[in-house]
Amino acid sequence: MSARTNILKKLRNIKLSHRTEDFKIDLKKIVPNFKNNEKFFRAKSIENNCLVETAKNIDEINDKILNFIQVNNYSHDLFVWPSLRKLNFSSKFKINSKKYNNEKVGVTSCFCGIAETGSLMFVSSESTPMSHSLLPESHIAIVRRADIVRTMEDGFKKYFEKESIDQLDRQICFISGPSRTADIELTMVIGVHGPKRLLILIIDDL
Amino acid sequence: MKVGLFYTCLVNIFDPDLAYKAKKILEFFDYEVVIPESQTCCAQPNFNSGDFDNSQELSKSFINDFYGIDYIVVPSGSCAGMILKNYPELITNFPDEIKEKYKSLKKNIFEFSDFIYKKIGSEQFSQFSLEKELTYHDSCSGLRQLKIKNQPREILKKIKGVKINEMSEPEECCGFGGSFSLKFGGISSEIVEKKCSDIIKTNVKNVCLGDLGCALNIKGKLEWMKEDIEVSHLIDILHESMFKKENVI
Amino acid sequence: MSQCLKKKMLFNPSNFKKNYNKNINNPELKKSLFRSRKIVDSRKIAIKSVSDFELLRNYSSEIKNISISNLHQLLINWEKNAKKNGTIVHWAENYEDVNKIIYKIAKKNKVKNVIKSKSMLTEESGLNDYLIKKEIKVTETDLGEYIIQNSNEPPSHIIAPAIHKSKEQVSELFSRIHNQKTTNNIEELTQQARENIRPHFFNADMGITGANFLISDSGSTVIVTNEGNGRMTNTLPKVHVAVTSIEKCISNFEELSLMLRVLTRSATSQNISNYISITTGTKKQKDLDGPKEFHVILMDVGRTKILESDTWEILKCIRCGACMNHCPVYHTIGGHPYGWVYPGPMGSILNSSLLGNKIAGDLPYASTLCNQCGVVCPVKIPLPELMVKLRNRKYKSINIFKFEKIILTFWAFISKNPRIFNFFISTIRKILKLQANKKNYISSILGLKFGWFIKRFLPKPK
Repeated sequence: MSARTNILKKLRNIKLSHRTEDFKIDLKKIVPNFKNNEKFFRAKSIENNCLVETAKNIDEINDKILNFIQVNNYSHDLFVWPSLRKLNFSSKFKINSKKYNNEKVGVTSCFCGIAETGSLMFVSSESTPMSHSLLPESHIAIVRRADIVRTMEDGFKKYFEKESIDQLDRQICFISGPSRTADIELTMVIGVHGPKRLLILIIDDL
Repeated sequence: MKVGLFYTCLVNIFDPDLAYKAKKILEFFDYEVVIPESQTCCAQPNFNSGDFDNSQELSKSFINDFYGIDYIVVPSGSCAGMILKNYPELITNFPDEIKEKYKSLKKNIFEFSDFIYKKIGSEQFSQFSLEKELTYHDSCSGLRQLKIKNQPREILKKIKGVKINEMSEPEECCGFGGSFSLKFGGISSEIVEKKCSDIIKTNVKNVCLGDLGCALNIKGKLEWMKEDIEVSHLIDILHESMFKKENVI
Repeated sequence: MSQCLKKKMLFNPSNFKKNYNKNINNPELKKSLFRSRKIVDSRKIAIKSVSDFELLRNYSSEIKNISISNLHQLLINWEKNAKKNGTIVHWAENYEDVNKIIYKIAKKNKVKNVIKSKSMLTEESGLNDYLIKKEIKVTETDLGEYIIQNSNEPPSHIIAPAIHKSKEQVSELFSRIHNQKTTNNIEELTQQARENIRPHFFNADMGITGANFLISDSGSTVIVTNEGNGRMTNTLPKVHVAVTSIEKCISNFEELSLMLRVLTRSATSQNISNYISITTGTKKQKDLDGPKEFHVILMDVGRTKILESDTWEILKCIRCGACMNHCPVYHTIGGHPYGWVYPGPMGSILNSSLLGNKIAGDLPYASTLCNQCGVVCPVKIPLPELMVKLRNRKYKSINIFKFEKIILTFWAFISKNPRIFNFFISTIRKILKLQANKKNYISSILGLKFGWFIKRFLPKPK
């Protein structure tokens, strides 16, 4: 008999002493009672060591990126999501989308923002790969104001409005700040293997 | 109202006076105190060591010894916790008669400070006075099994002249753990050293608590650390405030 | 002593007493353990951001109770959905098979370099040593795991495996293995680790991760991380293997969202950890990144046996580490004396349940039963209760002539006979009083210094 058969057979025969009762989850008693998603999102992202700014249009996005590059002494090479190629990026930038070439800055948008935790939800696809928010030293993520939902549950609901549970995209990732560790003496350090900096740009529309 | 006193083994061995002090306190508040002579052990040492069979037998003895008394008071969070929280599992295979007896007992068993707080009221202690600056150690079973936290503090605060100076971690285990202190004495000794250092930092001359096991552990360590700090059971402090330093017969 | 033998000694619960005695007298370890207390305070702050944390604990506990009660259905569903998305599912009943399956995957894909993100289950199975013997290079990429891999030690904590090390010790290690300037600065040490580990991410042929949760409704595998190495491991190499055990399966994403709230607060005092990666299947045809093959190894090594026993609740454990963070025993002896993969309260129970009484039977006794662990456990496992149940298992198996059994049998006998009991008590009182010194303290009984008397006196009976 295969391991699978054995294991499933054992599991089928187990009757636990615990009586399971139906219970309903009341998130109102768990999630803080905030009214403004964007405001709460900002506060939580900053707590997560993100930089958070707003931009009205592509010109302001370009300015913010330029400023970020200058402050950090980076070159103008950007590793940008294929889905964002249609944007009117400044000609000062040298934009690469396909294969990572050691760019210091990755630029992406995201699926949505999660206010409760200051997180960004990402869904992988051919035009929104995972590498861009992972490999470069810094990550700039653009999020639409209207896409900032209240909780992770709301994020999943939004995802399943268009997608089927049968055919999920390869990866869904919630990112909540630059990479960090406290493995040495439980002292927190920002910037380990993932990006060392995360700049979030909140916009109205792309 | 009749109150049965289950004085516990450690009191029996190390401080029988505590039982008489408890009796005097309860009698002051017009309770008739009975001390069943057939009482022995609540079965905690056997139970915690995994000897369930003998624990079951002893639980039966306790139930029979104390059935029929209006209230039962226990000057120990761990013994009271044993009876209230672990007996239900021990008696599952017993005849209904025993289960019924336990059911009626259960609602009337109290840890000492809990009984004073709920049945007598902390307000009653505002008539007494005692100049004492102390810190209070929360015994683990009392705290986590029986939710004994505010009760002793509220009672003590009412006594004129008593001041409580909390240590930084009063809820931290003292390292006694019954047979743990014998089997893993080295670890136990290190844990109680941390507790004693915390007590010493409060600069008080007295640490008060509700379990004699913790008391012996902390007192034994303080002496080893050459620290002159008194260790009192809550009953000692209450008795002293009520009867000053009378000789107990 | 050879490094291998040293590791074997550390990694053996039977050496519990020797190992903890060594650790009690280690001043460096004392400092490290004292430093790690800050997580107790940071957790208190983290749980404040949930309006009713006790209610949340109830929810998490119930989710786990229900999931574990329904594992058969959940896993069949999970497997069906995972396979639909291209996941290759393997089932394993023993450690040898886990390792063999992984090696077979590696061989088929001509794997020479493996990167690993934290996986306690591969510690259980001894995967690293197995692969290294087969001449496959394995690099741990989680900073803590990287440190202990290079210092050839087992982990001493399930979240922060190198918690027992000071920055000076890490600095000394890095100055030996990295070709870089020595530094005591924690940020610089971390940066060094980043620089030295980074090439391995790009050179790896296979990535191995654990899995915090399996989601039945979608066939997904979830990892909860902070450093980014988990994401690298599940995205860059052409083959990804996730090793998990059967009890990790829950139903859906609502449950996941809820469990994450207790997990991250209990583990690292965060409202949410940096990266939550939910993987379902392989790289889609036009994806620019992602592995071509995704394997999940579902292991049941001892888990169904535990499920059939009275300590099944230990399977609810979500590996947050809160119990050991709050344990007075762990904070005195550290993680290594527990002798196997899991330290602290959950370790005592799981090690003993998986390895059996003979090897790990002492561990459930190494507890004061204070329940500081139980009150912080995010899934409300009654840890002290389970320890007592394991003590019962050991007690039933020991010889009637063992000293402890004789004493307890005697005690129970006299407790049933009040007259004999009282006589015995008064005899004890007399003996103890005779042992006391002038200051009314006892330092030994009849010449014997029992465990009590290690740096401690016993007050004389009044």
